[in-house]
Amino acid sequence: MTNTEWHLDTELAGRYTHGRVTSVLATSIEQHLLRCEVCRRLLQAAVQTDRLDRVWAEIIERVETPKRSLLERLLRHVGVDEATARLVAVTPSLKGSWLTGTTVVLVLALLAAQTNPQGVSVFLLMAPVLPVAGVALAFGPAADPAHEIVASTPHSAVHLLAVRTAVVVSSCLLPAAVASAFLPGDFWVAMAWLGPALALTVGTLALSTRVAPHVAAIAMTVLWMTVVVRGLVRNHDPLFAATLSVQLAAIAVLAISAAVLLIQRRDLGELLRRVS
Amino acid sequence: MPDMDDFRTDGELLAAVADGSAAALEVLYRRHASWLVVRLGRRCADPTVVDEVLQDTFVSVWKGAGNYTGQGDVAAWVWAIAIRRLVDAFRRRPPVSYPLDEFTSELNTLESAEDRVLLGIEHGDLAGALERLSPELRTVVQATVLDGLTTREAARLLGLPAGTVKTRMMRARRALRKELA
Ligand SMILES: [Zn+2]
Repeated sequence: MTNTEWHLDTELAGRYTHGRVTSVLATSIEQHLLRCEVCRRLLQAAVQTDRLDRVWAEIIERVETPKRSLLERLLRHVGVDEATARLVAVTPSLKGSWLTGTTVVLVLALLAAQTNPQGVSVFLLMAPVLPVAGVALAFGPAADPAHEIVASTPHSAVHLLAVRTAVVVSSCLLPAAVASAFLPGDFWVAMAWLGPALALTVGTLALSTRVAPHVAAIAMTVLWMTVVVRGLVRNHDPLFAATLSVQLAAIAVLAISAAVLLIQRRDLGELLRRVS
Repeated sequence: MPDMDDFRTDGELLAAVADGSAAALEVLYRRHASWLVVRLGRRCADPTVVDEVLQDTFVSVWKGAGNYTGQGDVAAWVWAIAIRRLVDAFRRRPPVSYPLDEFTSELNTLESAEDRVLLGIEHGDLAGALERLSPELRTVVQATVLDGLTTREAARLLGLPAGTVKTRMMRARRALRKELA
């Protein structure tokens, strides 16, 4: 190009910056600026640093925000606020692997129930444990950007806990409810896993105010397994988990755990800080 | 200034941005933001809109760094993005009024063969020819030929119907051809 000998000086750069050049001269300057780093530097003082810093802060935020998932965009679309949508979307129990695991367990339990009269016991034993595993995963030490969310969320820790738990529980309960519709026998029997499932989940959360969530989850699972397997062995009743005593015990555990959570709600923030 | 410490060329920085380096993007930003603000400011009087366009431009650079072919100046490549983001901004919020005589541009992306002929002409001759065009024809030439916008984009930028831009461009071509023959 023919512009190599010609350069702006500070005076012309100033006039150009303040719009005091004819449009044809401005055209020449702008054409030259595209090719000349030296003259571009002359304009570097033309814009205030704090203005450039402000724009850069917005750029870097947009650049570093990970891509929103389909679920998150959907939630935003129906009016869920940004922090909550993000929270739901990054809950590990909504990851494909978790949902696949849930489905596999349910299908196997269902097959057992369909093929063997004793098989119902497998379903009633396994289904309540699923949300417990989900909670352990959601609040456990597994890699999860939750710490960023806790740090940036405008909501309380209780809100975070409630949203996450709701997501986890519904991601297990919905498939389990569908599966239980295919169970042979009584409707009531088919739904007998629901009470223990809620009791174990809330129990895990209550216990998590004192010990790490995955420890709490293991404790609750072992407790449940021990009670049910002992009951199965002693009573030879595949529907032992559906008996009134077990159901009442589940309701009692649910009530006590909910009370503990309510009393300990101040510690929930501590729980989240510890796990995230 | 971060760019003083960085000896990479714009092209090398852009390659680093394509590999996901936000630090390289910041160096590019510090090098180019100022002249972009001044130049956009000559096309848009509202500094809020200019800042938005600057932001959109560098987000586009981040996403599209891999599209840079290595041909031509990075500054020209960035400007081509910026002017289109400005058109987008005007699509969202049409400009109140366009400073006609202040409108300026450069010899950049060219569309038709006829436009390419214009580039081949010595800059001084073109400047003189442009100067003798009526302001409304000059504005259209600057937006389409020199800023490299399509008829529709130029119409958006200038706040004119596309048909008007097209007829003015035809009249301008005729005048320039006569002038430069
Ligand atoms: Zn120069």
